[in-house]
Amino acid sequence: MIHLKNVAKTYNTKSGERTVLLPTTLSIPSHEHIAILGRNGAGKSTLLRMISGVEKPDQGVIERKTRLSWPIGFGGALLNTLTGRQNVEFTARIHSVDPDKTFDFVQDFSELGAYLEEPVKSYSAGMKAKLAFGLSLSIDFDCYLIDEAISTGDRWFREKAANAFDERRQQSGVLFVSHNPALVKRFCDKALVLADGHLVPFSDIDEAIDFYTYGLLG
Amino acid sequence: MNKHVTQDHTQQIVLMMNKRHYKEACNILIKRIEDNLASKLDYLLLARCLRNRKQYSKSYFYLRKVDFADNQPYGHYYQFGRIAYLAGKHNVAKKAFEKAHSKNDKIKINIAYLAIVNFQLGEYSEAVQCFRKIGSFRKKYAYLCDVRAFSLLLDGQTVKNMPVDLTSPEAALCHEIKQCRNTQNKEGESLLRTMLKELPLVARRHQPIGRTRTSNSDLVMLKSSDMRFAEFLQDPERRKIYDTLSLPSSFYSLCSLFQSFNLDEEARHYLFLLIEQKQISEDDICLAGNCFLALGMLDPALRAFSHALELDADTLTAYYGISQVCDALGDKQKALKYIKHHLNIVPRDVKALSWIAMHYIQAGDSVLAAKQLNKLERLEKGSPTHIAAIKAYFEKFGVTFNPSATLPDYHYIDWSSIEIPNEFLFSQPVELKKSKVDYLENFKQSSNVITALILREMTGRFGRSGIGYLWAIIQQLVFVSVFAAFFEFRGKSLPYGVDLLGFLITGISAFFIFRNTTGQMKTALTKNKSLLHYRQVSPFAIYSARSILEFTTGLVVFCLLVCASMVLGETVSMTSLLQVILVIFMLNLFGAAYGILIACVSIFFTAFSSFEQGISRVLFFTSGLFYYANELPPDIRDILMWNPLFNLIELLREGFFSTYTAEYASREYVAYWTLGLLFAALVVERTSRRRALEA
Repeated sequence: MIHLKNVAKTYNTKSGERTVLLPTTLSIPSHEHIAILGRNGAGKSTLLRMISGVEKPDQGVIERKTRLSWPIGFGGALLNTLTGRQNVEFTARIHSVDPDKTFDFVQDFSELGAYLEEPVKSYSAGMKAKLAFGLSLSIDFDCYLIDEAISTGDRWFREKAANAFDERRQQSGVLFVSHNPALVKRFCDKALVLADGHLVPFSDIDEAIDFYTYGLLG
Repeated sequence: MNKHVTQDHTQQIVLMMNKRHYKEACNILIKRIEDNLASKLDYLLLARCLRNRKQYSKSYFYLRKVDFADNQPYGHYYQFGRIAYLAGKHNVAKKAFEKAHSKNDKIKINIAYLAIVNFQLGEYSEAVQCFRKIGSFRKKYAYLCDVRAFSLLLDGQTVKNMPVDLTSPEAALCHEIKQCRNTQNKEGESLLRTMLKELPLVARRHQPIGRTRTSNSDLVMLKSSDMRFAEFLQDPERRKIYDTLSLPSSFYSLCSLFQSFNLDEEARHYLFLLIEQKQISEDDICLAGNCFLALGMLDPALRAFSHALELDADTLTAYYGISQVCDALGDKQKALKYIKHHLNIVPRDVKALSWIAMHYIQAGDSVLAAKQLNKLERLEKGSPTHIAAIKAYFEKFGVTFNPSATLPDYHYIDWSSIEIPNEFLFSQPVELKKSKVDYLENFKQSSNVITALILREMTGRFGRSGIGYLWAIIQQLVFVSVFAAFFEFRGKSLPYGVDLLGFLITGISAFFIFRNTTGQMKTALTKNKSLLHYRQVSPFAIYSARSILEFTTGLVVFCLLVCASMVLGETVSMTSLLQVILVIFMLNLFGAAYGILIACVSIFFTAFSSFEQGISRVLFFTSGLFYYANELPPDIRDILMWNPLFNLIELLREGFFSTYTAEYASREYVAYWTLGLLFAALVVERTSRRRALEA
């Protein structure tokens, strides 16, 4: 479970203070497949970063009682100056797992071949996503935090990723951030909708999508 | 007539039908029949066109002329059955559906029709059997569910799923028959059964499975049977039995029925009966309120709704009722307030959404109106009939129903009233005992992270080929050689028997350890921002890793330079190796604290970093790189000794040269400076962290 106790967050922008999350008290089951739906700029990614522990909320406490992944997204956690291999090894080390085994897995999964010895800054966006996604699958987590990463890459990789991911989520939970209802429906059974600073939980994904697209409850 | 021409003309007709030009198609086909040219196919096509034009009797008339022998395919019987049913020939329809069933007993819609026809003919047990065959298929259509419930009731069986729409008289009757059975009221039950049989049934109000019947003859038929029902109850004998039943919901439906025939007297009669009920629930009060409203009695309606709300604040229809009263009184704002409240309780109420959409259209708020229209379209997506009804509602006000894509509408949502599903309800996490914190595990984790960061820094900064390392040495080598050449040229000999190279190395190398550490700290976060995506990596870990790496590099370069000077023939005799290493460590720590402070301050004041460049120049010349404190004039020395860096370099020389004693440098002074700066740096880092990560 991930417990949010009275958690709130605002951002200072040039046009004034922007509320991402009003004080919210919720528990998020970490073994289930839950979507976080919200419009662009609603603060979904910030919320995910707060849940993952990278960013601190303005007030309140977030308690994590599981092994959570980092927010997996468009290669955000990759260092551009390092090579693919060095990035993999770094991630393996900070998660206290064997760098060589991890590298073997990523090499196998990402199909990047010799590119893994090149600096990440020379990668295309799709290649970065492949690396980031392979990297995240190489380490076992109880719950994966995913920031719309699945939709990138070429068609074949997308299918492969979706299949691998399907397999993985048999055992692990997922928090899936997206603004795309169709994608969400494919991967999640439940949802949280982030709208106007309110985080509204739904046990039914269709209800959540109706609320997200039309503002219809019930 | 040759075959080629026939095909040609059939194709033409089918094309017209596809384009929905039924009238023209009919005209051509009827002409062919009159000319005695028509084939069997023509009759079938004509029947179909007429059916699509909703002229069911005519369609049946032509279809009957076709000979339906035993060897016809399933589809023909089914179509014939449907048209016969629509034309009201239930007996013929039944036969046709049965034949279709014998051809293909898998098709459920056919069985559904058979069930309905059986029901219409009063063959309730047969209808029930048919419903049993189609199983859960009926759940697709509310209409089928209703008819099944009627059939079961009239067949004398028990019904589990009663019709839900209580506003239709038939459904109300169903509930009452059940109630009569429970209370053993035989008289009442037989009366109600007669009523249900003779009533203008829902079956005739809607076309089965989907579309509405709107042909004129149908409407007349419907009206007359409704009339018959009204007359039925005007008989005093029957009425006496009926009025003893005391069933609020049917009083309501009767009330609305009478009212639809402008029989206000009768309607009022039942309305007052309804209100007089002793055990009346808030829902029934709301029903009464609706009746008052429909009869134009606004005050009693408002009283009824308010009373219902007193009984239960969440009564579903009461808020809607009040808003309708307010609307009728002309108070639009109040009506809007109540309808919003209603929509928070019943968010998917089409009536209320239509009203609010209309209100926004009239108020000229096109954005909010479009949002409601979108919701309406979404709600009735599966049902063309309902969409048509909504369109009709809007056309009544002279507005076209034309939803366009908009953002979701959250404007009237009462966030506090949204229910949180159980699995998301906050449960206090179980507190673990504090002693369970595994310090060893934590230390291992941190050292793993810092090792990984150091490795990352090494590969990232010095490159794969190691040119970076070479540069770290060359940089200092160049400085040392340039100044050595300069001093050599001036020909000035150094006091205390110190060799020139050793003197320059202790100055320049020390300064560079400080300088490089500072530089590394300044860019530590900006260069490693993406690593902060990992929860394990904290800014402090990054600073530590860079500082440790800088210390080792500085130490190694220092040793290499000293070795090089020894190769060139200089003698090295140290007082204390420990002091040398300790001072280098202090230089590193001091540089780190200073660098973090600058990095954090320049987040808020970007101009600060150029100001800092100035300080760096000053430090270069005032830190004793090229002179001893001991040989300076006292007044200048007193000022320069304030510089902690000068103190550190003096202390380094004291440790490095056995012949030199730093008389004026103070260890305590340097320690205070470093600790103070480190404290300030960590405090500022902590407070500015949020801003640093956002930027």
